[in-house]
Amino acid sequence: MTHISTLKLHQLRYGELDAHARAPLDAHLAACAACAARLSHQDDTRAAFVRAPVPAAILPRPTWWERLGALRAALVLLPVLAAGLFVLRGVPTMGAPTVEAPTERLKGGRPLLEAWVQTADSARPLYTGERLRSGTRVQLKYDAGPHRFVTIAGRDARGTVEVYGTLHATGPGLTTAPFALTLDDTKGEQAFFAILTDTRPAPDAVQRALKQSPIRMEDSEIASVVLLKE
Amino acid sequence: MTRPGADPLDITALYCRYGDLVLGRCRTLLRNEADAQDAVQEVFLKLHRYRDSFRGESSPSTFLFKIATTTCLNRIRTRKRRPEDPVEELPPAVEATDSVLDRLAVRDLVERLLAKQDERTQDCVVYHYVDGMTHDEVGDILGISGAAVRKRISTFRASLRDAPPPWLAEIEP
Ligand SMILES: [Zn+2]
Repeated sequence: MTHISTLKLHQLRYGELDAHARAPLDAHLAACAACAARLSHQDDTRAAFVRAPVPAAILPRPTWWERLGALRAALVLLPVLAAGLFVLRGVPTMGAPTVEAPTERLKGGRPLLEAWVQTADSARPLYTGERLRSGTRVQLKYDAGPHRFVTIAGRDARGTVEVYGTLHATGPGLTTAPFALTLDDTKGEQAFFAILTDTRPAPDAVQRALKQSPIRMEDSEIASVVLLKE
Repeated sequence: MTRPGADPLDITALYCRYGDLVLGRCRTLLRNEADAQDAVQEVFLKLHRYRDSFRGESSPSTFLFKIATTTCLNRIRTRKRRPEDPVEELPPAVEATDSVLDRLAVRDLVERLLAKQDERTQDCVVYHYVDGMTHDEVGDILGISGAAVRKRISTFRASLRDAPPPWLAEIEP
């Protein structure tokens, strides 16, 4: 028996084949346990894939026009940046809880939150799960879309939540947070969150929401990025 | 406001739709999860370079499957000796496969291929034996004739004649 090719199985799943092309494949799948198992393996891969965030490395790079805008914003924010340097505190972890990324914007839509690493002369986006050393300076960028407020917060491997502040959103488009974060030497997962709301949220409501699993908050969109401190 | 240089090829959208296809492909051929994840990113970053040929493609899934395969084979060709996860230590989702051959067979096949065959034959054999494509399907994806594919596959089969691996009997009894 000639099996169905791996690519055909993908195309079948994606609904890319017409009825004429599908009929013999359906017949084969009904009779061939091996191919049925291969198809269900693809389904399993898909199910796990859609739960993981899009790696920042493949998100579009800013054009020179956007860079120019970012540079102007950086010049204005320079005093704020210098003043607003936060140091994340934490305690060495044992049995760290897994940070569950909220599912509101996985696979599709606009990027709501990105973490960028700054070096002396450049910056690049980080992907979720990337390992970073202590002392690394991380810059967060968010897209508030139509929302009026963005609250930036973090959660370390022990589940300790820090709310860094609530900012007035400046509309759609990637906006650089007016402060950088320097990673301390605590090891483990460090999650950052952007909570997008239309009214200013109470800090303790944010605290409560981020301590839940899964993370949930009324009338909000929540984006996250998770880094590994080592 | 217009953005100079903005491009309508939405790579994030392609990733969301076809990323699992690319990931599956990379896992089958590379067998090391970190390598596979790395290769997936490489594939989507390459789309910037291939954007013109990509737009001419009728099927993004075929095009991505091909780029992913090429990317993986190039990685295998250029790596000297890199640690790979032993098959038995991979998590179950990674150990299973959507290819016609199981993981051990793929590993054996790739080792035999890289040792003796030219790159075009390597491509033909992977698409035919690992993915179960017919000679004509392989020909379509590589832009050569089905007959040319058949010839290269027979060359490879001939090289196995003295000591045929067990997986060959399973798929071509
Ligand atoms: Zn079959």
